[in-house]
Amino acid sequence: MFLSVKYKPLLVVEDSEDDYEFIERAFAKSKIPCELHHCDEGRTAVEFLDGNIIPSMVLLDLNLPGVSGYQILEKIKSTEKLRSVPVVVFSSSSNETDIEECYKLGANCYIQKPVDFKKFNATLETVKRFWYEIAKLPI
Amino acid sequence: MLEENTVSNKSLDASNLMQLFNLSTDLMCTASTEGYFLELNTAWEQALGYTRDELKAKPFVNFIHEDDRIRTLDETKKLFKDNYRSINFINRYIKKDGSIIYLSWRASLLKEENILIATADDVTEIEIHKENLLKVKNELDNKQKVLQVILNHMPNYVFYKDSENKILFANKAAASSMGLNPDEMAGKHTREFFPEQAGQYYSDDLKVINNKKPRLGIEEKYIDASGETRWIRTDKVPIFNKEGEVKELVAIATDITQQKIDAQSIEDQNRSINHILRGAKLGYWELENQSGEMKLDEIWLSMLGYEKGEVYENIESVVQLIHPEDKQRVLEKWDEHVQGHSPHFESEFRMLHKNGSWLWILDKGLVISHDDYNLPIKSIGIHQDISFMKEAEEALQKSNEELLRSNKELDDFAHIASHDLREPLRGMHYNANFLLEDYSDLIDEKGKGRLERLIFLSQRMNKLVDDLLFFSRLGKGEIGKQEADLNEIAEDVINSLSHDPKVEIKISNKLPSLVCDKVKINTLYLNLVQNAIKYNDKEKIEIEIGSKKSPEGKDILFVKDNGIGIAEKHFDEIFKIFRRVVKKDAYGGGTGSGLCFVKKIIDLHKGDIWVESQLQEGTTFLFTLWNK
Repeated sequence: MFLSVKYKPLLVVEDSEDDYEFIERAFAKSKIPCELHHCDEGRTAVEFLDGNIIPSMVLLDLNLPGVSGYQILEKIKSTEKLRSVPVVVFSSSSNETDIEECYKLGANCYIQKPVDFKKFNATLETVKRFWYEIAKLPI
Repeated sequence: MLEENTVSNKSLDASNLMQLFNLSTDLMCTASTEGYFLELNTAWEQALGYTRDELKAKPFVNFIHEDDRIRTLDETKKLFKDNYRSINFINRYIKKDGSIIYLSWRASLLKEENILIATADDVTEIEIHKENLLKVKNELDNKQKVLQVILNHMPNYVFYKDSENKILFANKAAASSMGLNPDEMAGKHTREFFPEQAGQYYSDDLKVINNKKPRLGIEEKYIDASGETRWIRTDKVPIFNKEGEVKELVAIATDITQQKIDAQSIEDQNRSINHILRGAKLGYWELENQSGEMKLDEIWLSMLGYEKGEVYENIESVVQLIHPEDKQRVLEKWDEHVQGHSPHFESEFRMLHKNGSWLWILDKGLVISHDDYNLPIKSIGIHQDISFMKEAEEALQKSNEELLRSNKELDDFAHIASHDLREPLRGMHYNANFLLEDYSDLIDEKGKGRLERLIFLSQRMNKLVDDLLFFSRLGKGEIGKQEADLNEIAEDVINSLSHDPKVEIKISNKLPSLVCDKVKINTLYLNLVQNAIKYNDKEKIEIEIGSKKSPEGKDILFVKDNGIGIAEKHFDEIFKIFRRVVKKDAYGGGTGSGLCFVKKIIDLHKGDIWVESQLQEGTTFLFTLWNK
């Protein structure tokens, strides 16, 4: 159940309008009330992360104007209070070295665009379950 | 009267005879059968230097030359036999001064008185002359023998001929060249042996005879006993008789057939070397290392725009023509060779053309002979104008740079394709989806069909872009080289495919381990197997992964299927990107890039890939790695 993290927003860093709409629609389809916090560029995402709110999860595009997805990922995983936040990279790159790089930097999952709603939701659900139900990441 | 006469005769006889006896310059004597002189005339004293008394005092044998004593006694004994009236012989006496005198004797025996009477002539001069003659004759005989041996053993043909073209003598070599022995040639006309050349020979003979001068080095050919054409070189020398006339001559001929052949083959060889040098536009040089003198051929000179005589043919002036920046390097390289550190000299350098431009020359040479101190005597080498190669090299470098730039552009393009192109594409895809979701009430079935088609096409385009990107990445970066067990790779590939009971994939024999890029070879097998499954309409899809050895012992790997097969005319086309030989939507609607990846991976592994196929029966893809 996604709901269990409803008090913490899910940070979506995505510059493409269409991709963001896809994400919104996917969450709507999951019928899970979940607050999405959308940043459409790296800089605003960094600002958000520097604030007091710790997101329940980060859905991260790599190819962003300004600060890149890698930099954000690196920041999350090297910041004490953010380190445990699951990061799902959502990118169109099929390049293995790109994917490897993400995992090296500490990404928890990688979803390649484009993807259909069903698969997208199933993946996110799995990640959430693992971290919050199996790995008992404190909410 | 008669009596008087008789008396007077008698008295003449006694006293006159005695006078005659003593006056005669001939040597006369009587001797006893005991071997003593009884009477000797005065001539004896002069001839032998002894007094008559001295001569009478000893047996006459004592005065005879030791070697002649027995013979003299033997001769004398003959007189005691009935049938000998007188004897003639020559023997030697020893004079008082020890010298030898030859005496020619006539002797007879007065049997009643038992007295030997004899006269002797001093024949010393004659005998000594005879002896000398004999000596000379012996010497001559000896010389003749030596000459004969020489004539018979010398390889030259010797003919002794008269002025009528007749052979008086031919030596063994001459005769056997015609399959004869010398006797068979002597006295015969030249025509009998050399019917065709006799005329020519005779006219040569006549020149020698008439001019009384030798003719040397006449080269002629003739047909020998075995019918072979042979070359001879002949010296003809006149023989002068006492009157200073020339009636005879000696012809000494040498078989020079082999020399001719050798000379011809050397000439041929030189000619072909020349042709080669000329054909390859190679200049040739020779160097006398110790004097520095050089020989530069026409091509060498013309390469640099010079003619014979315009360049001093010595090492210093040639080195002068080398570009100052190259000189040091070239000389060091040459020294390296001369000192035996390199098997030959090879250097590329610039040389000054007569027109002032610099020409790139490739010089290859070596020392071909050394003296006793291992110092070089002679060197040879070739010059090649490589200016055009240098230009080509520069052009190549330029085009390489261009290629690098265009590769970079291609990379950039790939980057654009991967990110910037795909994003709007995805947008189209999403929007078509959203449209379908949000407005499904307003759109009829036909419209929905069109939207679905739009979604399908955008997905397809996305896949194409993906493949393009993958392909561009395949060629980039290092290719991994590690020993890999192909069995493991093949099993990995099989396991990664979703299980389908229709499909049976087997590894038919143990695959070899090869050095390769594991990940890429995995991709290769995956693509081949996926293709084998995709292009197959059989009830039971059978795929075989295997290997075999080529005749050279190289590993040939293959993936065999029982699919639809490929027409031979398409064998080349199938490896091109996005090239499909079946309709787009048939057989799962692939992008047609799988085999292109395969080909690229094979190229990266410097291998070969080829197809064996029969329509409707199946296809085998065979490939090798690392054979280029």
